[in-house]
Parts: sequence; C-alpha cells; structure tokens
Amino acid sequence: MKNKRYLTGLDWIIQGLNSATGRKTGTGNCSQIVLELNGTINETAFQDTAQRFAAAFPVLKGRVSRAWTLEPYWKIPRHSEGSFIRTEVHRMVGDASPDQVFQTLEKLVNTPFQSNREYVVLHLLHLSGNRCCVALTFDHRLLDARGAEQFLQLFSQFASGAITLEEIKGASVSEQPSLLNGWKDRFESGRTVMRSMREFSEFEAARLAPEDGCEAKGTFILHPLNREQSTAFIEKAYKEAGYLMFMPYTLGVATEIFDRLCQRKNKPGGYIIPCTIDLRGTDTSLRKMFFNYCSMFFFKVDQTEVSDRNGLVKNLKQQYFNQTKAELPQHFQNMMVLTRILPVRVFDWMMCRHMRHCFGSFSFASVGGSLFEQDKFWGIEIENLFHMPQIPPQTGIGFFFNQFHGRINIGISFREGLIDATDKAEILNMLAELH
Amino acid sequence: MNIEEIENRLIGHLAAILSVQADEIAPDASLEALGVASMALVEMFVFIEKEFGLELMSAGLEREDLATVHSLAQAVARNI
Repeated sequence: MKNKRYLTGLDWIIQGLNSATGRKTGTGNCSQIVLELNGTINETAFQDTAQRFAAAFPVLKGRVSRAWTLEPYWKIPRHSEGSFIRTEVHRMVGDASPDQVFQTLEKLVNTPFQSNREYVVLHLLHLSGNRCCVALTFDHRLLDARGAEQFLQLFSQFASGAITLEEIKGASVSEQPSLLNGWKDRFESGRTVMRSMREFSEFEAARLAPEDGCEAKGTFILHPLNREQSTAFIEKAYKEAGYLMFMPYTLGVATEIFDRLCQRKNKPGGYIIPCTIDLRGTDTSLRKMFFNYCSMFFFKVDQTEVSDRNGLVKNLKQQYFNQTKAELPQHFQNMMVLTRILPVRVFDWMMCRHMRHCFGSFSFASVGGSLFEQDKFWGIEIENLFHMPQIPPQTGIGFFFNQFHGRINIGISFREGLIDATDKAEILNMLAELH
Repeated sequence: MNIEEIENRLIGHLAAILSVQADEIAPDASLEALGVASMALVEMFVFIEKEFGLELMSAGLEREDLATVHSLAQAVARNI
C-alpha cells in the first residue's frame, strides 16, 4: 500500500476550514451521522468489531506532511498495527425523550477529538424500549459526508460477515496524482472563477453570524418527514420547480427561511449561498471513501426576489444551469490546487480576511439519495439516517436535506444563539406547510 | 436527425455523467430510476444546448418529456 496520498485543493480547503473552526470553537470541521435502530447491539461485540475493522485502515493513523516539492500529502503509516477507532457507549437514563436523545447527540458532535490525529469516533447509545442509536463522529479532513456513509455501511457489512478484512484492505484509498502539472490551466481556472466571484464580492451579503464569527457550540434542528410527507414534499418540489429539480426547490425553501430570520433580526442585504455538490456521481467505489470529492456552486439572491417562490426557483435554476455550463465547480476544484502552497494557518487567515464572501450567508447541501443502501445495520432495522454537520463559525448556519429510503430529513445546523425558540417555531411552521 | 440518433447521443452523454456503460441504459428506462437527479439533469440540458442548440432548461418541459431517454429525445426532436 502506498504510504502517501497527495491532497487536492478541496482537501486543502477543508484543512483551512478545520483550522478556522477549531480556532473559534475548539472543535474542528467535523460532522456526525446518526442511525436510529429498532433493536440493540451488544456493546462488547460493537467495541471488538470496531477494533478489528480499524486494522484495515492505516489511513486513520495518518497526518498531513509536505513533500520536498512542497505539495501537501497524507502520510499513511506502512503498517496497520495500532490503527484504532475509539468507541464510546452511552446509556440514556429511564424513558429519555427524543429531545433528550437529540441533546446527547448534539453534545457528542460538540466534543473535540482527543488529539489532532483522531479522525473518527463511534458511539453506541442505548435507548429505552430495546432501541439504540449508532453515531459516527468524523473529521472532514478524512471523510466527507458521503464517504462517512460508506464507511459506516462497510462497518456494518464487516460486522455481519458480508465482507472480510482482506477484501477491504488496500481497496480503500485512491491514488491521487501530485497535481504539479498544468499550471497554466489552473491559473486560467482561477481567472474564470474570480470573474464569476467579482460580482459576489461587491454584493453585500446578509449574515446572522457576527463579523468575526460565532464561537458558540453547534446546535441542530431536525425535521424528519415520514414516507407520505416525503412523497408530498417531492411532488410539490417537482410541480413548482420542474421534474427532478429537487435541489433548486430545496435551496429556494432554505432561502425563504433564512430571509424570514434576517427580516426578524433586521439584517439587511442579499444572500450568497455556497452550495456543496458531490463529484462522485453514481460512483460508489471504496477508493473514493476517504478524503473529499466535492466542489461548490455559489448562488446569489436579491432580498426582493424571495417573496415570489416561482421567480426565486426559476432564478436559482438559471444560475445552476449557467454555472454548470461554465463548468464553475470544475474550475473551482482546479483553481484550489494553487492554494496548497500556503501553510494551513496562512490559508485560514486568508479565507477569513480576504475571501469572506466565500463563506456566504448560509451553507447549503441537498443529497438526493443516501449512499447507505442497506435497510439493516448489524442485522437490525434502520428507522432513520441523518447528518449533524458543524457549520463554520464565520457562516453560522446551514440547511441540509437528505433522503434515506424514501424519507426526507430536513436539518438546520447553527451556532447556539443565532436562532431562538420563536424563530424555531416559525421555521417548523414554514416547513410544515411544505408537505 | 432521427430519434434513434438523438437517443444514442443522449445515452452516450448520460452514461458518462452516471459513470456507467452506455449499454446499461435502455431508452425506455426511467431517468429517476437510473439515478438522475437535478445535477445530472442540468448537465444533460447543458449537453443538449451545446449539441443541438436548444435551451431546454426554461422551455417548460413536462414530466412526461423527462420520463425516459426516449421521451427526452422526442422533446429534442420536436424543438430542433
């Protein structure tokens, strides 16, 4: 196995975000996937299996280093001995309410990793009524959201004996060229992106987060829809935005909610929305499980456009089309290779000082279907799967839509204090009107 | 250009977007079942504009037009 995996420009952005987030909040740029299970798992078996599983991934013991050519790479130990996944078992006392369980999950994703070289932690939460939750807290430097889903799915397959350690070993880290060539091409990509971004930098973007970022812990609102509600939501999306246009519709909904919050808090300006997209397409190979395979679209919305949903969605669709046609996500990915020369701390400083408009008004991601295809985990029926991503403190709030086995989860992640109880009630009312 | 030629071009590009072999895409297979979501559909619209000179994104296509590759090819043929 190669002991070196060069980092891409996108991986380097994540390194910068990790530094920016860690500096403000004490936890890095991390996230959590939660599986709600209709049964329980033996905790000893859970812990033992996790340790045997870890042996397949020397990459979990890796760290960032620089080649003599100054390119950053992930240094992977040659041997897997000592690879370790920390597991924690939690017991909810008595008949814990769903709110109490959710608060515990919030606490877990706000707990810093034990060292700068710990990237994943597996939690098992025993609930009352013979039920449990499995949560994977992960560092985005090593896994993006879809990679983490794949990691958890692989863990379940390994636990049930469907896949062996030998099959997993060596199949899970992609080769990544050093990207030291094509400089002219990368500068041209940079020029294309900068031309597109120029109008963004002149646009006064409304934000809920304070100018220098919000230091408070990450907090979450989860609005899970059942199958009937999800079907109704999707039908409404297709009717209003066009067939298969789920993403522009959900972006429109998120913009409306954010606009309502800004109106209530008297935050003037338009909205810049960085939108994460997965570049894997339908490629589900294990070789793309670790590291980041995403890029960005950037949308711009004037406050006056938000009151007319049809007009808003039409505008977002047109921007989506124009940026796809201009291959902006690919140019963004290509341009960001140039940033790898900067030390992480300098890149963090540059992002926060000179590229602040890139953080936008709020974060957004909409995942059509989950990569987690099984309906069982460890042989137990999965009731739901949802994500709890931490938002960079400079942005402060993000909206996330994911679908799991025909069910939609609408998640809002925000820094504590940016949304109060009245805001939350209003958001839930707005969402209830959509299904 | 007949429907079959349009279909073949659409299938070739869709296969590249979905990272599958072209022969895995039947003209009458549902786009949704093939895993086409908004991103892939927008990429198809961009391809159609470049290949056939048609701006279908805002052309008001109905659900039936986007049901399968065959129906999309018919919509392209109608608008050429």
